[in-house]
Amino acid sequence: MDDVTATRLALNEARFRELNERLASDVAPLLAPAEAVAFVCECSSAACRDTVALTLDQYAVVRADDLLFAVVPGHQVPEVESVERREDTFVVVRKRRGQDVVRRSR
Amino acid sequence: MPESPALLDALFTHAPVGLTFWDVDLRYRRINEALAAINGRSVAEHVGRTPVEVLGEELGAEVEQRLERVLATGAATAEPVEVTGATPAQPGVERHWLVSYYPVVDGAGETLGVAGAVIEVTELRRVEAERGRALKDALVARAHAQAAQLRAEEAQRASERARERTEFLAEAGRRMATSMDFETTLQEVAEITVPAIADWCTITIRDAGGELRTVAAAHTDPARTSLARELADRYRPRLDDVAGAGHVITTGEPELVDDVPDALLITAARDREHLEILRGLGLRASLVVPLRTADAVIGALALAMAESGRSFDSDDASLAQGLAARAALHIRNAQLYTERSHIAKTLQAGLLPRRLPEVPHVEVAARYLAAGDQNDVGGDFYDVFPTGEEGVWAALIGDVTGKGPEAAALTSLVRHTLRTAAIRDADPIENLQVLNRAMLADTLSTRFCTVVYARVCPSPGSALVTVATGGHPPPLVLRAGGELERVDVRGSLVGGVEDPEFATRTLRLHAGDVMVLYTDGVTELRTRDPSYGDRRLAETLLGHAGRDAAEIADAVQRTAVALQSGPPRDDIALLVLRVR
Repeated sequence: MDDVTATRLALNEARFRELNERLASDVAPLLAPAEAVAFVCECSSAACRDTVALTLDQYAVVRADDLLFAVVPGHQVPEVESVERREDTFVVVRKRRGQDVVRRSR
Repeated sequence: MPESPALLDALFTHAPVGLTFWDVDLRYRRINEALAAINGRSVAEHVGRTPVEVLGEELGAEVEQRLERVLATGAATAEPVEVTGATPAQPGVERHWLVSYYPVVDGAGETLGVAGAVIEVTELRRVEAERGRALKDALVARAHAQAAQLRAEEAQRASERARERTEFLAEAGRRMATSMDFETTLQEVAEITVPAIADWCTITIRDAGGELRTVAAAHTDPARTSLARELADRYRPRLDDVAGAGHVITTGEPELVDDVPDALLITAARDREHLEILRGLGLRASLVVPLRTADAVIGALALAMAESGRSFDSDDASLAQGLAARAALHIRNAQLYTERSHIAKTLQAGLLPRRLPEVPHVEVAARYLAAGDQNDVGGDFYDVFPTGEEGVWAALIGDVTGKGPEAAALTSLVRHTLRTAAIRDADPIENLQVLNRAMLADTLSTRFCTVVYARVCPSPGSALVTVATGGHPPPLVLRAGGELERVDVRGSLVGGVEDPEFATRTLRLHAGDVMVLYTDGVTELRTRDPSYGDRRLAETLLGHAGRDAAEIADAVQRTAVALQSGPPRDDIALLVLRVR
């Protein structure tokens, strides 16, 4: 995969990250303790409509690192990211390419 | 006021909120019906009992703690506190109340107990919780809708890019289909490439001698296009180049450089000046893909990004390879077409006399116009040659069915058979019989032909002509005085049957008389009137009475071509003999 494509994928994922951060902030007052939220899968696939269920605490750990993203298991793209952690309902991936775009978009 | 106790009793009893009074031992001393109902016990079941005894261990203990705090501090709760729990009235059902506690002090300042006011808010909390869930669901749905929108936009962009690429390839294909002159069409392809997919484009091919030659160059700025051509001429790509077209032609592998380093320019430059020019181009990225046919790499398509600041992605690489594949196929097809055309022209030339002989006392002119694709050989033919009989010449014209190699072979057979036969015997009928036998003996052929064979015996001021025809339109004779005659002779097709019938007609031509032999391409037109072509031929001849053989031949050819509404469907061949 070339850098331009990697950058485009990274930019997509960063956009989903923004959506999820706003969602986390908006639903926080409405949640019961340890209640999971159906976040948007932060993968780069244009066809993906899946959700990833994380509690706000779990999501806070992911969002604490700009290069970490929560995706549905199997939605990781090995060419541009590595799996950082696997949970029951989601996988945390670390972006290896397109980092500049991700950081710039923050 | 004397009625105050009664008023207070009424308020206490009928207030819509729960009211109660505990003594300093935390025992219910008074409670109204509303609170008793909330707790699920009668008023009597409360009086004298503690909250734990009435409400149970969990909820009762919480109430008692709050009562103790009020007794200890002597202060009311600042605001109503929310108490949550289950009562004996509805065990297991979580309920919510807002409760205010305040101390009750007598006139001497002694604390008598604690009063409490209770409002049930369970329904309010349920509604609030439902609203919260709905809001949360809405927020989640909104986020997912926005994500879907983003992904749909990305899919739309991808689809748009794919459509543009498909259209680009289709347009390139259309350009290449317009001509077999591939150097011209490839230049057009290079021109549509910029700026659609690159800032620069060059196409280099390896010619038959193995030399590399850049046949197309393009940039949106004509001055830069000229520079590209100049560079390609001056620093012609070489197979031992370390990068670029020459390198890709050698390796057969695509080459993508996404961030052209100066070191690469230094390596690629042939000399100092070349390096400065390359640096001046401001190349940012380059993509070179091979032009590959089934068995060889015949060139390379080179794209480069410079002033636009763009770079190439995987889609660009796929597009370039698709374009290169089409270009390679086009070049190969054009080369094969050219080769085939050359073969066809050479073959066709062999089917006609290289030049017409000088026939004593007779002017001879011939015209031949091949119909259709220049690769189609065979068909019509003519010939003029001396026979084996002193002073006797043969003039013939004919038409072999079909086109292509088989027709060409048969044409050659016809021509050379008649030539050979005429050496032995100049008799037209005998020679057509020989030809018929030769054609029937050629087991590979199922074709036949039509022929006019004229035995010409020229002498000063006249010529005795004996004409035989094998299924061919008979010749026309234009007399010097302007009369036009059709030579009335008929005969079978040649090569069609074993016992054909041929006949001859002998006539004398005098000085100025003209005999015209022609094939059906001259007269067969796309018209409903089958005799129109014959009439136009007659008119043309009558209009050129007295002209020399070449002028008459030119006029007939012009008429024949003009009568065709498009390119000729059939070959046009004619032979004109004019007695001097």
